[in-house]
Amino acid sequence: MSLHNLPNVFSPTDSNVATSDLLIESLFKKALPVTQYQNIDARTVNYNEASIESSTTESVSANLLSAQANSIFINAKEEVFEDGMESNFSRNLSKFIVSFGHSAMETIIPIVLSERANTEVVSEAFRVLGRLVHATTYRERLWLLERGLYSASARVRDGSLLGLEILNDSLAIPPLKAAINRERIPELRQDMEQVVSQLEGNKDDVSAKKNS
Amino acid sequence: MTFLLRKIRKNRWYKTEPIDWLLDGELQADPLGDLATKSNELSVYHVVADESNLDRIIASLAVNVEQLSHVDFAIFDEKIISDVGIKMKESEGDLPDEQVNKWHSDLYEISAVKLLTLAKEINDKAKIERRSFMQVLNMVANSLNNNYFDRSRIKWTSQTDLDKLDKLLAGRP
Repeated sequence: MSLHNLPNVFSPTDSNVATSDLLIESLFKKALPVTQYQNIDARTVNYNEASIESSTTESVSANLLSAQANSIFINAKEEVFEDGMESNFSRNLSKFIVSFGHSAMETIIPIVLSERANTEVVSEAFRVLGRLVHATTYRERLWLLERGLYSASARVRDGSLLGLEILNDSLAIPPLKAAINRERIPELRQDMEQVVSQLEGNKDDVSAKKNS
Repeated sequence: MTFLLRKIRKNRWYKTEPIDWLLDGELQADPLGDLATKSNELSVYHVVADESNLDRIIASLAVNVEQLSHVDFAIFDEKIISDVGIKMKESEGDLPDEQVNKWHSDLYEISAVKLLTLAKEINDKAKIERRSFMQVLNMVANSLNNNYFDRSRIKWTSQTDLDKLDKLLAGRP
């Protein structure tokens, strides 16, 4: 993987640009090739202070990946999102996940579930997670989308719902039904019911086929 | 009576969402993002009373973006515009469906105060709805079947989205 393929998430006007460059450089010195990440099961990854150790004993800095993920989310705060349109955020997040697979998801999950990130950005992140065609991270993305239904923010719950709708996986029906029972906003509850109907029907046969 | 349609993000307009910092009668600022003016103008589409042209408008809006997506929109009585004191002029739209373009108008000479009043009126009186991406896909397929626009005008960049459409079209008689 070459440097120019890395999502350009650091603004050139950022006062931390020098640090950022070092982070990126260091990241690539330590990063595993994408193909190797795809063979690592996130559930077996062990955390050891700043690094994630794989069974191959090769490591990548969890802190550096985390910095990368945080930058993607922080820089997105000023973006204007529009339904149906790509954004720098959606491109950067997609590239990050495809490039670093399970390790990327490990860094994204705490950001998304922290309830401290910007709700508009997190909502957008869920849409990206639903749209992404990437078999390696499918289960983690499905899990995270389901967790998003528990967010305190209605906007985030809706983003999660939209991601699940695009993913079109009937495995999401039980968590969606539970979310419907919890949901206090009638408009959002109605949209959830609509998605459940879609997933239960699935007569259209145009599902993402689990991104295979 | 005719109605106006404005594409929005539904989750910015929940009427029943409890927001503890918001005073009674106030509107949170984010919905204004759906009313972003250019040269103090705002684009709207005319929907007839029985909404018989609604799906056609949505389909045309849906193919004018990069990805197959759900479509959220607000529909409100055209009278709101005159009540707020906003002017409206006929203006050709820029969507793939030429007929839909004729249903387009621009609201113009919109001041910040009028924009906020319009947002409040929409929040109070408009019907805020969503068409799921699957519904949208069907609407697009209907428009293609009816030759409302040419397939080449679809702006979707994802082959996955186009494949979904082709599969749906192939399954139709």
